[in-house]
Amino acid sequence: MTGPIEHRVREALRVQAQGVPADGPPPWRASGRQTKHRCRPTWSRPMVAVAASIALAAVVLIVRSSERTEPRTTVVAGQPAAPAETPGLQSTPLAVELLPAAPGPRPVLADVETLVASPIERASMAFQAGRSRGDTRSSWFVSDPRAQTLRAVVDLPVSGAGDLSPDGTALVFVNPLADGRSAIAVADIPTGRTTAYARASAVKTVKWSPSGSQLAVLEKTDTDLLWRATVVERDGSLVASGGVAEGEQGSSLAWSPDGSQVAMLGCQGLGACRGTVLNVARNELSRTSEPAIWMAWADARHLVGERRFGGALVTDTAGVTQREIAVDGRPAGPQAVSPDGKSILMLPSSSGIGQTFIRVVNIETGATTRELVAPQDGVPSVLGWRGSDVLVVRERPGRLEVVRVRSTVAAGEVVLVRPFSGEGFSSTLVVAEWFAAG
Amino acid sequence: MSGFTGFYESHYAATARLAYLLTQSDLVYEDLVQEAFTKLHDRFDDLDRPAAYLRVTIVNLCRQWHRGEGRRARRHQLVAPIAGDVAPDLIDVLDAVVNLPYRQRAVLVLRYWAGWSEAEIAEVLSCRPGTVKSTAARALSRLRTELGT
Repeated sequence: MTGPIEHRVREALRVQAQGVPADGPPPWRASGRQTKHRCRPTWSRPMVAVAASIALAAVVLIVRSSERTEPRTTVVAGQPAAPAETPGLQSTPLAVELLPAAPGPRPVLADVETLVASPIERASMAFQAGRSRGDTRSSWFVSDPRAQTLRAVVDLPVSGAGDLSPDGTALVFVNPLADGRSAIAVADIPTGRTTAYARASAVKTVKWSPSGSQLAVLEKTDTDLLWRATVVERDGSLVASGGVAEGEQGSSLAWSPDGSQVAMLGCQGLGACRGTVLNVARNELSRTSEPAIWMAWADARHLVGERRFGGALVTDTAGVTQREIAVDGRPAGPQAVSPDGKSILMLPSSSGIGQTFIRVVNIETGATTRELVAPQDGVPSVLGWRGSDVLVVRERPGRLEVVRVRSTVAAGEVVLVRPFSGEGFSSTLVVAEWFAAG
Repeated sequence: MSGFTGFYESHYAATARLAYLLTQSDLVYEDLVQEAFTKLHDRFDDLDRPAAYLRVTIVNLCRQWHRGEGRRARRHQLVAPIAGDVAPDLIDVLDAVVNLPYRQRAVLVLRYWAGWSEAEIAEVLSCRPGTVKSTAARALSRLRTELGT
């Protein structure tokens, strides 16, 4: 006989599984290795002729592209940079029309609807709200913390990945296209005007450069199925592109503080991940050897990462020098590194019952410089920094709050109340750099 | 090939849901499903029971993922993306299920969501049916304690 707890578990899992997957199965596409293994073709004369024509055309393309002076090239980890066009990527952006939003009310609380007309010139935070995964009525909202206002800047189907420009005047986000590809869309926050251009079908992350002039896109190209960090100008024109090794999955995209490099992780199967650093100007790749589950920049030469089995490490971009930050606990994610790269936020390793402290640790010395009390029991979700303070998400009945925590005793200051009801959720919350820097 | 494509299309949704419940991650479940089908594709013509192979593969892939970054990555997720109108007490149940060790969570998902028998669960977890039973009992006991019921 099924008791109450079994019943609740069954019902909870049933509800959670609703809406997964958001769409039907993607078209089946075997990898190149499988295709070679299982479907080796029998070469007929016409096929040989076609292949020869393609090879000849490829040679001509390579010769032409090698005559370019701009570094619009692509490289793959473990291979020397080759002056060839990135497969599946166009150097000239292809402007696209975004899918329109479905009719109907936005899935957020009614009191937010009264705030959406408030003008915001410079946003501090942005988040996405939708009824369910892949909801065509989801929206991006931005917040001005001084006025406690929210405004919907994008009322379009969005995938969840997005980023605020460092100065808070533009929002970039990923938008699904009708043909299965993804678009990178840039919304100007003061005007709400959005421009978009097509990218590959799988785009995991998009990040603004520190100057706000370029974007790094973590995507898997449709032709060679390699995960790449692709750097584009704000208008979508291609600057550089470098991929992780074949068979690796890309994740954890991060710009260096000076905007000259982009770091990402390449994970071999489900095993260890290694850092891959793309030098944007020189279009060179280097690899770090230490496994990590994410990486962030401490300065232009050093990366901070979280070890797969706990703890934090510091490694240089060449992967030669590594050292551990000898502190118990785990880093609070890529956003844990302070804007000046000197400190990192550490959380308890255990699930944490009761009051929890967030430790501020000096990356260079490993010394704990401060301890901040989490605004509610348990291990908190840390959003990042606000000057020397820390932004933490606090759950309240029927809503979520972003709380600025600055001491070991005070409850913290609420800087944003996010709309959240039983019908809505937020999958992303990003903080603009100008706001994080205080 | 058409046989595999048909199998892929008919089994994709259920496999995706299972991977999502086991990983609790919007970011990775599709990749794991793709990886599972890729492994299956290699051996599809040689298998008598491709569905059984697929479910063993997806459970193992989710376990491997969970051993690594799953636990930590989940903590960075700001809000559990729950679809539909979810009662608060069910959210508490989901939170408690998420905090279970992977093996206990897997047993609950496979038993109470997927409706598998103890023998089927034992097959994919490489243990005896009795172990499945005791693991489920421990998981439910822990949930009762956490939920105060």
